[in-house]
Amino acid sequence: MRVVAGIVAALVGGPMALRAQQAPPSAVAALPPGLDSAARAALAPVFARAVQQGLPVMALRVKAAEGVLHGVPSDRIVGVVTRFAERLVVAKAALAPAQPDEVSDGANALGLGVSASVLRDIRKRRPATPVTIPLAVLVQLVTQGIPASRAGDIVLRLLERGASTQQLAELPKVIDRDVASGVSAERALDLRAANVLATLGPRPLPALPTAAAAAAPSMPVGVSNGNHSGGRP
Amino acid sequence: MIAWGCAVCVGATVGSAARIEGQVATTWSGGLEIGRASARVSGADSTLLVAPAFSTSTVLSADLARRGARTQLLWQGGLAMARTARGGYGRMVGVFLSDASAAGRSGWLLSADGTLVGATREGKATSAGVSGYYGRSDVVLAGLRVGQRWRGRAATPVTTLDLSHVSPFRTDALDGSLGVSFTATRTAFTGNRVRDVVDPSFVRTVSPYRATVTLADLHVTPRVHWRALTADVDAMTRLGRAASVWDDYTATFTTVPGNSGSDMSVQRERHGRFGGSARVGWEFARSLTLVGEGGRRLSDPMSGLAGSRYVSVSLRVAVDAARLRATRRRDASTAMDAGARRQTPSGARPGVSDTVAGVVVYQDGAADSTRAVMLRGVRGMRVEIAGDFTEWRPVALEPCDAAAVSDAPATLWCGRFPLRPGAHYFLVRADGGAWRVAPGATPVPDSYGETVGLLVVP
Repeated sequence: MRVVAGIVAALVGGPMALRAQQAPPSAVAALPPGLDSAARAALAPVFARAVQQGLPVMALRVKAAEGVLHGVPSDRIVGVVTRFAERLVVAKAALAPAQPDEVSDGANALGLGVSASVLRDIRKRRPATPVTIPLAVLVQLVTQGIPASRAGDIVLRLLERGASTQQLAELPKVIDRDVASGVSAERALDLRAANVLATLGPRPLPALPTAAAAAAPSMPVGVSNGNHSGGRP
Repeated sequence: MIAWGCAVCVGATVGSAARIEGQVATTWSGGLEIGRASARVSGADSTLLVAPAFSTSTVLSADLARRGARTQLLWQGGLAMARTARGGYGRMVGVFLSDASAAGRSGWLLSADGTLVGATREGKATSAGVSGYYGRSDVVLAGLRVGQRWRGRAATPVTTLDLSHVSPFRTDALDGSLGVSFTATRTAFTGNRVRDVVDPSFVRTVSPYRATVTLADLHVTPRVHWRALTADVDAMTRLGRAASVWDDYTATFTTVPGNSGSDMSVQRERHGRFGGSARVGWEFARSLTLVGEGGRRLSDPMSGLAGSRYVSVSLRVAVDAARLRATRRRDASTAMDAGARRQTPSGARPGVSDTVAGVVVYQDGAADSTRAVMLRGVRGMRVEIAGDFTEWRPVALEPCDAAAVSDAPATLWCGRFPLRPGAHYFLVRADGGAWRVAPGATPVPDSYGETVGLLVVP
């Protein structure tokens, strides 16, 4: 009987313990305090995989710590962190080349229903500058009740036309005020986005050289993209 | 009374207090808080059960308060209705903080107190005028607060020395604090006139056996918070011979307006040397907290009130304004944010800031990558923040402007955190209560099905 119990224990608990032991020390060290041993054992391989894949392990740690603060059961923390790691993989691929903060923000946006293709398009329009603000604005718009696809379209259009970080960051705030005065969030988004777009240069033509198209979004506000001198100031 | 500090907050308390000495009272109060101003209306019904002096009375009172960075104004008015008479009173209190008090932990404050009391039975006001002034200085050394108070004019001159220290603690399962305070009070009694709650036409004058008394009180106040439960205990003991002097011999003069002379009786009362209270709060639903409290109060030599035992049960209702997104509160929030910008934390210049009402992030040119954060609208004695930038570990914020008012909750809190540009998620809590979305922050759902606050740093 004791032998059978030992075999069962080895079959059930062995792999989990083995995985935990095999996880790199850096991954185990990244596990937040407050997790019980079962959760630590379950999350150690997730963290180890994240290290191997070059994912921001700190984002996983923070996500797990958030669950600890909420006091949710360990199995839920493991599930949430595992799914978040999967979203990090998707976000990293979509936003490549991406900084850890961008990957983390991208994964959060994915969790709110933003598609990976929107992340890819955001990166295309901002290939050389951080996209944390556009991603944050996207998250704000979605939480204001605007469908993720619609919010993604607007943010992409604004980026395409060279909207500044300040113009992007102001958008959710003015929408908030519009909503408070009784306008629907989608209607407010249309109006406010149109106002911002009206101050920007014209839409670049599809036939433009790639380099010029890539340079257009980073132009200062009110400056034409160089191919259309008739743009509004 | 207000369960949770917020830009717009309503609170209500319904409770009962049973005084063991034959008096039963039920109390209720309701309040509204908008920005720095608050209003409260409360009432009490009191019944004296001791035969044959059965009587009932109802007392209504209202408070209006406005708190600024260095000032506080409080207006109180009340109406007492009893079987034998009607009475009313009004009181105005102004408090002014020193610059040091407003900016740091050490400083002084001055207070002026005016009172108007009238008994409508005779149609004449019985007293009016400035009733007293009050001063206090506080010095904080190595976490130990040393304060001294003065009180003068019509009120009894009082000199008080306070020593207090609070040590927070936290484990994986719970957190809380342990506070120890020692208060020494020396007072020369000239007679405290207390308008009787049951019948305002009666004035009870309480004098101790000795004209000058020194009282020394030691308080131990542990507080524990675990999930939705918060427990407070205040255990106190009165040290020295003064306790028995005060408690054993109390002369009571009863004066009836319109009658000449007064009745005097000397009571031998024993309220003991040990007192305290225990309070348990259970946040059983969002914005709803059930609070049960009971305890034993020792006599208060400064107000002349005798000791009593009491129990109370109350329900606190808080409406978090952050959730009323489609209301006119947005306008108020914008104004509040503008006010917050004017009150930049010391050493910080208002640069590009997040304009989410109630939470302001300053680019103050610090050498490191940290940024100053100011949080407005969370009322409490101790406010903590936890977010992705703290790895969701609670970090205590420092009061920005009201630290000197050690016995008054602050609403303006400051901290410094590593905030990179982008989206951040966070929660706050006051006095070890439940974690909540900060007023003004955008509430968003997180991966755990909870709601957290969103802060976007440009």
